Amino acid sequence: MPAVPAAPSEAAPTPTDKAPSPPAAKPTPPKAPPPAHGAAAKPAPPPKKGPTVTVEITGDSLIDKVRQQFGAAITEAVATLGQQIVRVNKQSLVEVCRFLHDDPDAAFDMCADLTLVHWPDRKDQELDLVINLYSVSHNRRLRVKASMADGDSCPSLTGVWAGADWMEREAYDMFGVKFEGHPDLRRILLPEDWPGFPLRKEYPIEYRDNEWTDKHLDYREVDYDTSLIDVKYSERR
Amino acid sequence: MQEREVTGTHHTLFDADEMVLNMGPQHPSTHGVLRVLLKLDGETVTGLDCDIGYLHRGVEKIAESDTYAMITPYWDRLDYVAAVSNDLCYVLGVEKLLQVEVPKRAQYLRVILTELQRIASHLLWLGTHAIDIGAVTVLLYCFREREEILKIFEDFIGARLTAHAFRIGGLWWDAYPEFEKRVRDFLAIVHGRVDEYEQLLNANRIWLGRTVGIGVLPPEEAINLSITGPVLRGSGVKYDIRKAQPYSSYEDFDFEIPIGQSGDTYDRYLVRMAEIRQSASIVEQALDGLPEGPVMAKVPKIIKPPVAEVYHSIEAPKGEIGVYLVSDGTQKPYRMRIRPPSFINLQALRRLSIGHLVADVVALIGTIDIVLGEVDR
Repeated sequence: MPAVPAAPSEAAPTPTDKAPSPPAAKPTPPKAPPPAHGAAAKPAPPPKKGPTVTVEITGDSLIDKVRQQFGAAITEAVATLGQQIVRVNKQSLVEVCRFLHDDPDAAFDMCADLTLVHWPDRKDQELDLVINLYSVSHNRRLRVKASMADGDSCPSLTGVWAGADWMEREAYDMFGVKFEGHPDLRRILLPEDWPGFPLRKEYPIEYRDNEWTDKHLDYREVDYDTSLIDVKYSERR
Repeated sequence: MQEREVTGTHHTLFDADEMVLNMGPQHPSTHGVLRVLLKLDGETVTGLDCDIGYLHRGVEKIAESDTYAMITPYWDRLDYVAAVSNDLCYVLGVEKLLQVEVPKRAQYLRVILTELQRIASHLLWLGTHAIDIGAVTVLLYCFREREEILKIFEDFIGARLTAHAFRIGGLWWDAYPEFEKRVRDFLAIVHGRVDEYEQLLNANRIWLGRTVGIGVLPPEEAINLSITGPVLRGSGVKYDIRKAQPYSSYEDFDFEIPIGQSGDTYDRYLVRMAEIRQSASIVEQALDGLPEGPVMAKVPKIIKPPVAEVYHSIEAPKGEIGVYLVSDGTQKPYRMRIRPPSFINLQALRRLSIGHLVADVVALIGTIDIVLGEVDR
């Protein structure tokens, strides 16, 4: 009988003996440098095309027509996961879009979506304008892309599709790209005096702009007149 | 106000200047926090500007630091009255990126839940739109039916509004045993209830006075403004992504695309009512043909799509909701863009309102059917 309780009691000390030793060694790791704020954004791996996913478009009558019409302005025409992408020189963007809108074979009458993607590692092509077009009559989608360097402006497409208006304003709001010829380019989601452009890669995710907050959101501590409460309390007594 | 000479006839005295009226962000008819600046000549709107962004949470930025599976619940919180539709859009986008084939049963269950969500969203729209215009009763009836749908969701998914209904690759749970009966019970009443609403409104003189001929949007302009959903179909454009580019087995079901003729507020109302009936019919067909089998595809625990990009959009109750995903081969998306139907449809408010009266702006905000959670993201 005594042997049974003895075994756990003997076994017990070994873990407890072992347990204190790791905490003794531990205090050093917590003093590792705190995560750098913002400066070290996630390093993007170099973009490389997977061979199975992206293929060159061949034998498509519309794409061939666009290539024929604009020649060197069309730098790339590929299909990724079955979705057609045409890359256009920024200088001829408006003409290509005008053609895609007006030409009866293309008839891309709806600008379904317009946005930007930031690639800070690409030299002189840091920003990609991505437009998803849709043709109601042909039930067809096409993605048009144009690269631009950081700080460059971009021609506005509001003259072609009126629906690009707010999407370009949002793109400006989030990336800081100026759309030339836009009738009313202001910030749309963020306050007018917001510093920085949040969807750029260097903009940190965990970040609070104290200066802006102090200026606009009145976080004053409320001063209670405690003496008054005391008086009332004493009166009640 | 400019100073004017007080001499002259009363015509010159009352030749009013334009006034700027600030509507919102706490105005009840703006359905949240939309601020509308109106430039008025008397009671006629001559200019309009929307001030949005009060609910901006930076979902697109947050997504860049979350894994693919972690992002789904954020989509619930965009259009929080149609969370299931939002989930479907995102989940289908990631599945396209991963090239995953979802089991047929999961696809059908997704269709059932999404169409129920469309009915719920349209019912909420009808109730609030009617109350904005002055018909208080309809809201109570609409919420009665919407409650039934939310109860079905609660038992299936575990939540009423922010559902997180779908997982990448299928569904987390199969349907519970009474699910089919509960949905069929709801379908049995829904047509009669829609008849009731139509009895209340279709020939109601006040309703007609407030909606017929208000905010006419010609089809070419609607397309040019990137308008989608019931607003576009109200203008007579037969564009519904469920038919145009079917996803999640919508090609298996037989349904109509209701369209309007004149593109006014009344037509948009009729389109949405007809859509409720069509959705109920789709749910019925999906229940009849619900196949057996698994509800989850084989998806790796750690989701790492190839280096690629994809745009996927579906027909949400408010219009085309889309996702543009750029993958750099890691567990987190390099960029996620949400194509928000409410945000883009709200662009039309200026076009619709100019020339109408202040009171009509309330009806026009209602007819576009916006949810500010999605406008601001």
